[in-house]
Amino acid sequence: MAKTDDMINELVKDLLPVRKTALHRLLVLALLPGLALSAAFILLGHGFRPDISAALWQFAFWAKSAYPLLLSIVGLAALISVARPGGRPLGAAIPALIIYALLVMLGILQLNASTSPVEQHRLIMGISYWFCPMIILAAGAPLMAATFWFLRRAAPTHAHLAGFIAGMTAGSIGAWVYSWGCIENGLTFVALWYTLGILLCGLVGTLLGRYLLRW
Amino acid sequence: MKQLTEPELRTLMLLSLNGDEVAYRCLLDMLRHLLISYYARRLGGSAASHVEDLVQDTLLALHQRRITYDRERPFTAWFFTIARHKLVDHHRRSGGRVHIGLETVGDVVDGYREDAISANMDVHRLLASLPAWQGDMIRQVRLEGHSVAETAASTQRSEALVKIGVHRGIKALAARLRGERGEDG
Repeated sequence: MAKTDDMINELVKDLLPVRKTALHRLLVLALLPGLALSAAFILLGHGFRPDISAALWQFAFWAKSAYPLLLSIVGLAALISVARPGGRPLGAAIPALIIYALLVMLGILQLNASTSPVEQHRLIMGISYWFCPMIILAAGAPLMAATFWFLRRAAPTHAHLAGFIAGMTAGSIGAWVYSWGCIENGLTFVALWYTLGILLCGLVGTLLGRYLLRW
Repeated sequence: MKQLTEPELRTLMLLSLNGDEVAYRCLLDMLRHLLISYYARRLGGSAASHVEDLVQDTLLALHQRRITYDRERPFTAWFFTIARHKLVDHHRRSGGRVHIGLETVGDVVDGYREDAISANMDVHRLLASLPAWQGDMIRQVRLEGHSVAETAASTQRSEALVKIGVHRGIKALAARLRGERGEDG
């Protein structure tokens, strides 16, 4: 028991005040360098899309960028929740699915508005369908390091779920970063291949969670 | 041994999060005794040596991960979720044949559930046991986050007196809580 006495003495000596917003601040602190690295990777390695100034006037560009951004917001809220002991934010699936359904609806409207079969094929498969999920995985990697760094300092008690949310959130933010470089305009393309990239990040996160989020 | 109630433990936790060492030592002492009976009951006599390890592990986790406590929620629910997590981890490492159902956390937390509901009202009841001016200063400085200078102005007392009031009040609080623990402590 003397050992426990010593430990309590050490802990009391080590006590520092904790702000009310400390957990949120830790998440922001983790994400900023992750976001900077991801943006540097996309903008230096890939660059803005060449027609960026024209794209800024297109609805499809903003819808494509809003989709992962909205998912990121849902993901960040879920991340804060899963970081606390007992946190199991399964309800976050509902807004995420609504966001996805909206994108699919817009994608179908866009497909119907197009008359040429070649154009329709382009809206679905793009010119780079295999490339897109891979680059989202890569753009998400530094952000995944950030979300895991955060969770390892928090107290998630559901390691797989926490890993999944960390991966999905990192993938969504990575996809948002990539949306500034990606030349595709098809919303069905986004619904398929962006989503695949984000899900791949979620899968990697789930597998990593098992090893990295034990405490 | 009288168990501290949820509002009492929560008050100590809130004070600890504001950096109050006296309250923190008192909290850790209380939790240590709660944990010893929590783990001893679940591991059985044969594993007594593991109990101390688990207690230390859990107190360390509380310390390192106290950032995840949401001040708006019951403290004991948060704390015993960590304790249960450590217990599950312990069983997994030692072969994992022991079945742990939700009831293991339930039966400890049950005792606190009713308190937890009225936790928000009751934090202040503990402070009410102090002389009114001390309770008031602790409330303003430590719970509501006003500065010493603001509190001095609003209570029309000197800053030194506010500091003394907070310090003495917390000492008295700690002494009172220790006294309640009885001879076991």
